[in-house]
Amino acid sequence: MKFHVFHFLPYADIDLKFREKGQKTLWMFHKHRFDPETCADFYDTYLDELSYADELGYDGVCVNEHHQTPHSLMPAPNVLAGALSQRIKRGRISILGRALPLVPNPLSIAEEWAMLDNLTRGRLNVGMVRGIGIEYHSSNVNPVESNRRFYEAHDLIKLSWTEDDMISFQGKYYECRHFSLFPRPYQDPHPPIWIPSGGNPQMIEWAAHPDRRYTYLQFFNSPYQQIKANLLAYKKAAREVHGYEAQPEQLGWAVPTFVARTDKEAIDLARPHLETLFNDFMAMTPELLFPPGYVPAEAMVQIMKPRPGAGRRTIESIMELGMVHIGSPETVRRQARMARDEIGLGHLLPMMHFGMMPTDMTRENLRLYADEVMAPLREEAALDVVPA
Amino acid sequence: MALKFEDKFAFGDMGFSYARKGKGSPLLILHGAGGPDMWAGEFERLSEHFDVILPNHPGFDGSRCPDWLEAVEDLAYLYLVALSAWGLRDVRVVGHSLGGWIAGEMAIRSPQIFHRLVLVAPGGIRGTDGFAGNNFVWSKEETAEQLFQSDDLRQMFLAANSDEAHALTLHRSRETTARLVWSPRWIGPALNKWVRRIDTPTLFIWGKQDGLFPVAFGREFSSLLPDSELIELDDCGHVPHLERPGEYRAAIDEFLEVSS
Repeated sequence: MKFHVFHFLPYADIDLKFREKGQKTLWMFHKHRFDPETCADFYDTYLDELSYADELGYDGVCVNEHHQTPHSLMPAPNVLAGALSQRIKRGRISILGRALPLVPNPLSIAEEWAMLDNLTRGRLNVGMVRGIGIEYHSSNVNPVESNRRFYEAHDLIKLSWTEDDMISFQGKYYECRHFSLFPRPYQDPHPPIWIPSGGNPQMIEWAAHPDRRYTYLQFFNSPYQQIKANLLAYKKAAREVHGYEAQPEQLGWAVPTFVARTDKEAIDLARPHLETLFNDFMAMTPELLFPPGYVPAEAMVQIMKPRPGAGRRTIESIMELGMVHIGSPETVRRQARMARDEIGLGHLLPMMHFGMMPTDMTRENLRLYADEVMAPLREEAALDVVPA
Repeated sequence: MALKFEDKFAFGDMGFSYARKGKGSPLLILHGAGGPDMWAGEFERLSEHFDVILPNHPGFDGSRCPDWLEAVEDLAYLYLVALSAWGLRDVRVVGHSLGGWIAGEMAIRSPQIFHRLVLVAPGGIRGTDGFAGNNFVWSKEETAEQLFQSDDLRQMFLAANSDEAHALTLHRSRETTARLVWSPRWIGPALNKWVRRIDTPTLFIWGKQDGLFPVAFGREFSSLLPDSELIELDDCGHVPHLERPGEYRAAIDEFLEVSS
């Protein structure tokens, strides 16, 4: 199993009383303070944390894309990956992902990724996503076209990477008549493609296709049983639809992770930051999260059904659903083994900073996990104690 | 009385269902993104004086938005084809909101076939001052407040479509609306460029508190047409025929030359 540190790079100085000021969410409608010195410091701090992860021997570091929110200071993840390319000297850099349908011409993404692949001498993984619903409000791209634009943008990027002559492409949304990619990707034929997705069956079957075999990534905001079901659905699609056995490296999970000496200490320390992540940073209205056409109308009927108010989520309720890896080294090793053995997971993406966690705490988390979780699990794999 | 859309018009793989009732001069009602049901009363009332045709726009009728329907002008062309196929001329049109936009797109293409246009808070116009309301981020409660002034109508709006079948129609309608109006938002480029082709006598009816299309849009739209009048209604949101039915009916009956 590979270990990639995932980081949202939040602007971790939010006003937690935003609701009292009549705001429902920190996405888009924020009128919160922004201090450029603080922001610049956060970038420095977080890049240092990711460099530290590289020194500790993690297999890689990961960034992703979100817009107009303190949840993530990465509206342009390729910019961050460029900065990381000059700091991360050993591990891989994964962009998980870039929202293809939101740009007017996906060939600009193909070009940027080719640059980054060379800058890292082939240590780049690229994630392709649709972007979340709110990003259709912010980009003004029609959400009804989201799925079709995604597949078309993918086809165009792939064509530009694999065809070394001039390409022509006439799609419904994108057209090109005079283009050949230069510089070309460092890796042959192109960087590994990852598909972070919420469990859409059509996307699973498409990603698992033998011509693609893309790494299918689950994010942290579903219960473990749902994450497991989605990843097993990928294996099933590979086996039953496409006739091959999916390998562990085709499956990944990004999970909020915190290790301390004891379970109690870990829970006590992680509590405010995890609860802030789930309740405040992630707070969203359904209209923002699900613009029309982003999911089928049938699904909208279920999503918009009135539900009893759930109230604030506690770390206990989140842990009960298996959505996080939090506890002593022994507990977290057990949680990681469970995903490895029950799912056949090949990529674990511990999210070692969340909420407004101070950097000393994040660095201790990174160190302890590397020594007490990653190292023993690597030894097990080397000794082949358990089947991968 | 519930509307029944028993008749179908087809043109290749395109088509729509419609209700038709009454005798006399033809009158086309084009409903808005909220669906045809709120026009049931006016359909009945006007059918006592006219041959009233009320299309149920594809994608708003409970079905998925068909692939061919990609822009407002697709509906405009389709309805022009239908009017022509039915041999109708001197057509009166009442178009509300999205339906008013469709009427405008029809009128810039074939102004000669229309006798009178009633545009009730129509979309499609690019205001030089201000924007259409950002309805796609409104919650249901916010939508009720933006569209209606009266508490009764707000409550009625919030209580409607509570069962699953209606909810599905609502979400499909919303999806079709987004497909047609998302970008440029609620603006018809051709309509804005060619609006002066509309020489048909036109009556605009607009609520002064319309939270979707500001009444200022109505003043601009009206000023661009050589033969038009704008009636602005007080204490009235986006749906004047429900919110100010007395004034609304008096205005359109006079304009459409309804004999009482």
